[in-house]
Amino acid sequence: MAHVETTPKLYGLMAEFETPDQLLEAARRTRDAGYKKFDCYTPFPIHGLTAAMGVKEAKVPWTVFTMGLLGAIGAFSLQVWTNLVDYPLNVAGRDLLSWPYFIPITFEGMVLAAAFGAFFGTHIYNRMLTYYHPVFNVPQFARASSDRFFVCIESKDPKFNRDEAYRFLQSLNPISISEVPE
Amino acid sequence: MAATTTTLSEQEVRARIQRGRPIALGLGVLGLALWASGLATNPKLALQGYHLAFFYWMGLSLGCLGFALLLHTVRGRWGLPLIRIFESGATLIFPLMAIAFLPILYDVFVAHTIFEWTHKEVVAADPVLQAKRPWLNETRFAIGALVYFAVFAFFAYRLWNGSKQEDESGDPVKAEFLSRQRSGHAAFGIVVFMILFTLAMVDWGQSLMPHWFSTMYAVIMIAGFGLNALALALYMVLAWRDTPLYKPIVYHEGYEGYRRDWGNFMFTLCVFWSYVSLSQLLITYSGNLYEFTQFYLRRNLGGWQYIAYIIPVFHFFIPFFWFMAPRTKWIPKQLLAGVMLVLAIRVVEIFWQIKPMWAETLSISLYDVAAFVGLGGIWIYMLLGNMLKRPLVPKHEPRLLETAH
Repeated sequence: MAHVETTPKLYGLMAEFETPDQLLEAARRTRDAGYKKFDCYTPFPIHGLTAAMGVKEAKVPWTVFTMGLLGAIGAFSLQVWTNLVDYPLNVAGRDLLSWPYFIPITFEGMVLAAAFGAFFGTHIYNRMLTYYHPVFNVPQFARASSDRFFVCIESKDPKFNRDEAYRFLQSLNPISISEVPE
Repeated sequence: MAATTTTLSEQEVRARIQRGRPIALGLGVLGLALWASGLATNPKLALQGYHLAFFYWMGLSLGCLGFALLLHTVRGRWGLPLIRIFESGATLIFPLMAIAFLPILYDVFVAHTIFEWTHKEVVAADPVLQAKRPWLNETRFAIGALVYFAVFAFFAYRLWNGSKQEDESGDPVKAEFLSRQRSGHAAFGIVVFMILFTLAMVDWGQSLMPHWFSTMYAVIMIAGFGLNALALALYMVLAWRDTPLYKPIVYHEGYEGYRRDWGNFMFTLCVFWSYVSLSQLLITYSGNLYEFTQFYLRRNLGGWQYIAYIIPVFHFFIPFFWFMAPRTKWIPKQLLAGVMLVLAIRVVEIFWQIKPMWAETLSISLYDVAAFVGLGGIWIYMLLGNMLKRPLVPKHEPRLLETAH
């Protein structure tokens, strides 16, 4: 079989910046330009970056909340079922539905389920345990964990057009612009 | 000059305080006059209603003192806009609350309507109360009160004077030094405060039902009154959020400057109060001994149970979800609404705690309301007066509006 040379697919275009303020400005303008699928990479958390990127409300709190609620309801129901239906037991003449006794277990059930929600929610939404990511194909990106700030517009974006995106990134005055191969 | 601008920005708040004072004083005088008329017609109900009012307003003063001690110890930035309000509330312990305590002393020694253990014939027929006589006797009660008031007042004025010195020092370095020095005193004060607060709650709260006792009681009360004091201070700051003094504070860095911390602290105290309240119920329920259960039996019968249903809903569930939501801390109006709910339910909670000590069925007398409004009006009048005596926020405190990052 003949050897076929394939050019790698384009993951996106990445611009490199020197300061957090330039990155904030770039993120704001990228959002205003109408790009949806883009991400910022920074060595440390930058205050106001999520707002500048136009990231909607985080999903993890709601997951934790829902899981906590379900855990509380589940734990309480379990106790009601075991004490009233499955194995009713007279303890010192108290009501079978002795709800004060159920509260600690209900609370623990809520905490456990909420903790699971937080742990797995964080992993799932942040796509943790990703073993390969295209951005590492760019050599300059190694500095994203020390002193450089990056914006990457992904080719998945419906508005993405290689030349237009290039011109747009250039207008942000970055130090460099790189193609990110898939 | 910095000092002049502070004074200028305070003018609007000071004007509002000046307008509010006569209203509070009027309500106070009116309430106390109505209450005093009850002393002649129905001294029993009037004195009991008075004790209820004293318990609430003294508790609130102690909540203010507790918060002042805490804030001076940890020197947290989030408390800086509130600290002068807490100090103003704490110094009401003396002389105002000490004078307000005199009718209760009169009752203990002469009228015998509030405390069951002051009845000679009841104690004579009751071996349990006789055994408790070394603590529950009139002389010890009076001496105890003297000690509580003296020590609480000492710490309240120690913090008040220290802050005043700091405001007058005119030098940020000296102010910082004074502030750090005060933090050591306050840390020691917290220990003394909690021990004496526990004893005071035994005297003024638990001994109303002398056969019953609970080691959780003082914890429930300090959590509740701490929450109450915080809600009061936040009410003022948030209600005055349109003034040049508080606007930059309330809106500092969006909600991340102060409002998030305030809302979270309200949340924490609501949950802590619920936790200790439920613990007391759970332990009592498990033990199932009349000695302890009589507290809940009284509050679960004769109509009192309806208030017992209201309290967990408005003192726990609604504030729990309300203060947990980031939106509440984001929107000042919504935070203010939560604070007002807490202020309202605190009164109901204390009413439910204290009134059933005397009344087996759900009831409220005119004198309960009159004494509460009367003493409360004077309390607020004096609080606002104290606030006017010094700058409303720490004067030489660079951390007040610095950015956190």
